[in-house]
Amino acid sequence: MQNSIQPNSIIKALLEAREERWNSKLSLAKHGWHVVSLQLNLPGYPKNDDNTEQFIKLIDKQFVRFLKAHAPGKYREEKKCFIDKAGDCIYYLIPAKGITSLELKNITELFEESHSLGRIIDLDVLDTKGKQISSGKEKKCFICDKPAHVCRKEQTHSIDQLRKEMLDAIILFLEKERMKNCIERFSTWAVKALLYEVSLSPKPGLVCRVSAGAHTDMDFINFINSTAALSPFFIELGWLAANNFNLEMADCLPKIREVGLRMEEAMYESTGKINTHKGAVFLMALSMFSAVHVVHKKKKFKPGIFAGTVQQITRGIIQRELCSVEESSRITHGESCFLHFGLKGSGARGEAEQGLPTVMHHALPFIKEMDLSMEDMNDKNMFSILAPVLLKIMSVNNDTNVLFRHGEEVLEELKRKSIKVLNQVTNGDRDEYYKLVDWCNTKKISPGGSADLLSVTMFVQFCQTDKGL
Amino acid sequence: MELKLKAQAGSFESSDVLIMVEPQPQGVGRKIELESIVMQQFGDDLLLQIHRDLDAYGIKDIRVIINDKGALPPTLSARLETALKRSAGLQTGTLI
Repeated sequence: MQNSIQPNSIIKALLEAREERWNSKLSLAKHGWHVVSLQLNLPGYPKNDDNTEQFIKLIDKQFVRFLKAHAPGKYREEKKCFIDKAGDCIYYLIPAKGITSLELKNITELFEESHSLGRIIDLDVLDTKGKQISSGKEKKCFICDKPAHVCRKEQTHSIDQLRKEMLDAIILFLEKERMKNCIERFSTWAVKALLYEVSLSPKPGLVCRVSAGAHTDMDFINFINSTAALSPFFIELGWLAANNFNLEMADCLPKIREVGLRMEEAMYESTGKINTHKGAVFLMALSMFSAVHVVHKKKKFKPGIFAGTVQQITRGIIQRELCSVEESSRITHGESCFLHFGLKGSGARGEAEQGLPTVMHHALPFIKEMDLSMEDMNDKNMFSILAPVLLKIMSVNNDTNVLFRHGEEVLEELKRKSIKVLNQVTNGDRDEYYKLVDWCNTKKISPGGSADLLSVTMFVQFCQTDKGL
Repeated sequence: MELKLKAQAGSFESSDVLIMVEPQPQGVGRKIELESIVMQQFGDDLLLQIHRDLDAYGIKDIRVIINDKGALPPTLSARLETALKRSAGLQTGTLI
């Protein structure tokens, strides 16, 4: 006899809890319900902790979805959740009229089989006569592939080992689900930021809903096409960050660039070879990667650490990529700008390597100071929320789009005008703003770099106010 | 221990066992009906354990119905003990 393997009082409490469960299930079943019970096959004590509780909450959501997908309309949101000495438990009550207990059992088995941690999950079906439905299939052991009840009986694996492996797997699973949720949310914010930016109308020189601004080769729909083409890559960037957690920061850049280059290809394909988002791709890809990296590391989004991450990833990029450039016909606008204007012309690379100063030290503090809320954006309030932020960015940003095409004097004039117009716009007067729009459109001045930084600013703002992480 | 009533203990949960006991007239002996998911591998061990436990309580005449979902020996003994005590009126619980 092995009475000594566990303290007796714990065994007693556990056995009592199990018996109570069984009786409550039986009485529920007799009221015309099939009772599906969800619990964990976790050996040892205690049966529940913070992780198992979180885990069962997640499995609950997944299983209800599964049930609704496989037996539409059968589940009527009737369930009972509780924790007793036997652990976390949920009963789902399914009206017996619509579905047979065997059909339910097939669904629960399919769920267990298709779930990566199905061997920890125990779903039982009790029919209206109080009979436990069995399909005769044997659940496999969590560690080896032998039937679980044989391993349990023979004690092939020690309870401590089995328990530890299960709890570790649960923690890993929770972590992955947490990152999945974060990545899905952040990629939504990235796309939303790009869409909001182009939707702000009118804008000085920039493409918007009502005008192509200073441009003749692209319009609003090009931006919609391009944003749509970019949207799948943010999830990829997120997983890149979550899966390469141990990588040196400096080694991340080529990996991000690889995705970034595919984004550029997708952009050019969707716009008919027009550059709508090249600068935005560089900054937003970096931002998406860094934001997810921060959440992975710190369990929540911290803007300061986010900016530091962007800085670390791009450390030395100006030295490496801009300082070595020599005059030739095959250099990009960004490279040429640096050649002519030095650090002032370092553009998106400079902004990144310095840790996004325009976003972190100007735009975001401005949003806070003005108490602007991005949460309830609509067509009516969009202008009064976003136009001041854009002007704030334009007033400080050494926009290489402007610098490259129009030179330093025009850039400084644009910055001065932006400060003036910002004061008036925040006082409710839009006349000067419209004049600035006309001035930019007529002179073909398009502050595309500032538009990119507006997108990044919104992205960071969405991330730091995200309540669903 | 003198058995007076039909009684049961346990559950159908996995790694548990549901045991029903019923008093029998003197001289009838032990009637044990065993069903287990590990019948093939452990059926004999389970029977042996039940007999040993009944010996310890000095019970000679009884009907025991066991439905085993892979309970470990301490669980089996505890469930049998509770069923017997309920039958003898020494412990409250599910009576049939």
